[in-house]
Amino acid sequence: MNARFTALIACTALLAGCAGMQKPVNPNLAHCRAQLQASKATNYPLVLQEGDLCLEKNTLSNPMQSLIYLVQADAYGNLNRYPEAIVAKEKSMQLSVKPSPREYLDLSYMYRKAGNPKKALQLVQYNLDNNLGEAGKGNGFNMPTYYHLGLALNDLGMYREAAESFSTGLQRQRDFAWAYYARGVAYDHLNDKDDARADFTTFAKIVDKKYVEAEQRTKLAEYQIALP
Amino acid sequence: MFRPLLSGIGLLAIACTAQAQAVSTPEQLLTEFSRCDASFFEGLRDARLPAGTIRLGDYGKVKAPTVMNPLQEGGNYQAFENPLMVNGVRMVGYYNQAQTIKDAGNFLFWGFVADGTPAEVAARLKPLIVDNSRFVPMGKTFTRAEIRRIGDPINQWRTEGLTGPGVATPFGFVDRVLMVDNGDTTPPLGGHTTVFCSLQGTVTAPLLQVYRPDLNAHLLD
Repeated sequence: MNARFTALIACTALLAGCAGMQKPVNPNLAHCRAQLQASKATNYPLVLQEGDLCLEKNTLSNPMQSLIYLVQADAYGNLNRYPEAIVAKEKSMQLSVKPSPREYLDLSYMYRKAGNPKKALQLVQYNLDNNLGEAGKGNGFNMPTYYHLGLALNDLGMYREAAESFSTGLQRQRDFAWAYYARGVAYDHLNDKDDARADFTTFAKIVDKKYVEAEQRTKLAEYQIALP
Repeated sequence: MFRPLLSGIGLLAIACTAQAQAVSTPEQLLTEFSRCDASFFEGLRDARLPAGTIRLGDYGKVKAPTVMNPLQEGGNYQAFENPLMVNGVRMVGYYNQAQTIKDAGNFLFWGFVADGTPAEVAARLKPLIVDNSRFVPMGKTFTRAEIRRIGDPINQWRTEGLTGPGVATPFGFVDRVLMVDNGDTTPPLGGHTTVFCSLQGTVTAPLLQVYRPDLNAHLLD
């Protein structure tokens, strides 16, 4: 979801740039616009096709290439093709003048989904080590950092540390349902069923149900918690 | 108010995974206490201490000196019926405080109230203190300080990049300090020296479950 959000911002910026052109100097730029339109339409195979053509047929500036790769990464992610999403995301970040801390969190998410939680953890720690809060250097850390930290720790089997990380994030943002779910999973692994139940119950009460998937429904059912 | 976060982290991690020792002397008790972790409370479970000194209560799987309520001023102190002598130091009471301070985090203090000056008490207790090469004078107090960043292994504490005295622990960190200091100016600590452990900063329930098994881990939620 984070990658999608970032990509949408990127799309908006790029589309605005294209819209500003009276007539494209190079008709091949049409592929770039088509990529962005396909992304907006959530047609991810077309995103990849047009994005590749855009990159192949044009000599784009580094910031423009970075944006195209960013949209590619988002599309790969949405197609659950995380190894390719990582390659595209890393290219995007390399071409960017200064990747934002948020991009490291997005990349962490992709590594985790690709089955590499160790690298996912290192990426969050990079932000922590360099004091790169979500809003920039020195602005402190909030839920996104601690949520991604906790997810990586959960995947590494460091459930106590994961629960601590989610608890820290919840001190910053009490209403983030998914942190309760993830902490519940950590407590569940720690065999702390009471705390797990409390977190799953809170999750069920406040989550936007349209995003709840089979995995969460199964876990709630295990605890005999109904989604209201 | 907050100093910049640790820069150029020099990580000196210490694994504090000591097993709880059977406590049969007050000196052993002080050694377990000085770890500032669950060892003290686990050690009290089967402790054989002089009768008529510390009054203990059962808290889940461990024991701890009883106080009425760590959150309640006036309810967080136990005066010993008879002093507990530890290597020549007269321990006359125990206190257990917990509080939340807005924008500064959670604070837990637990430890003994002793007769004597901080310098006298520290000198007598130092040989009993774990990792006592780091137990050093700092102004009129004696401290052994460590810090943990959220996400570090739960038993791992950093000994570099510490938060200085009088500086709030940055969000996302927990300070742990063993300290010998002057008590408050008011009773029951007034006029005494305190020998205490503290956890402060981003102290969460999952951490308390490990370090303070005598407490309801959610008391500060």
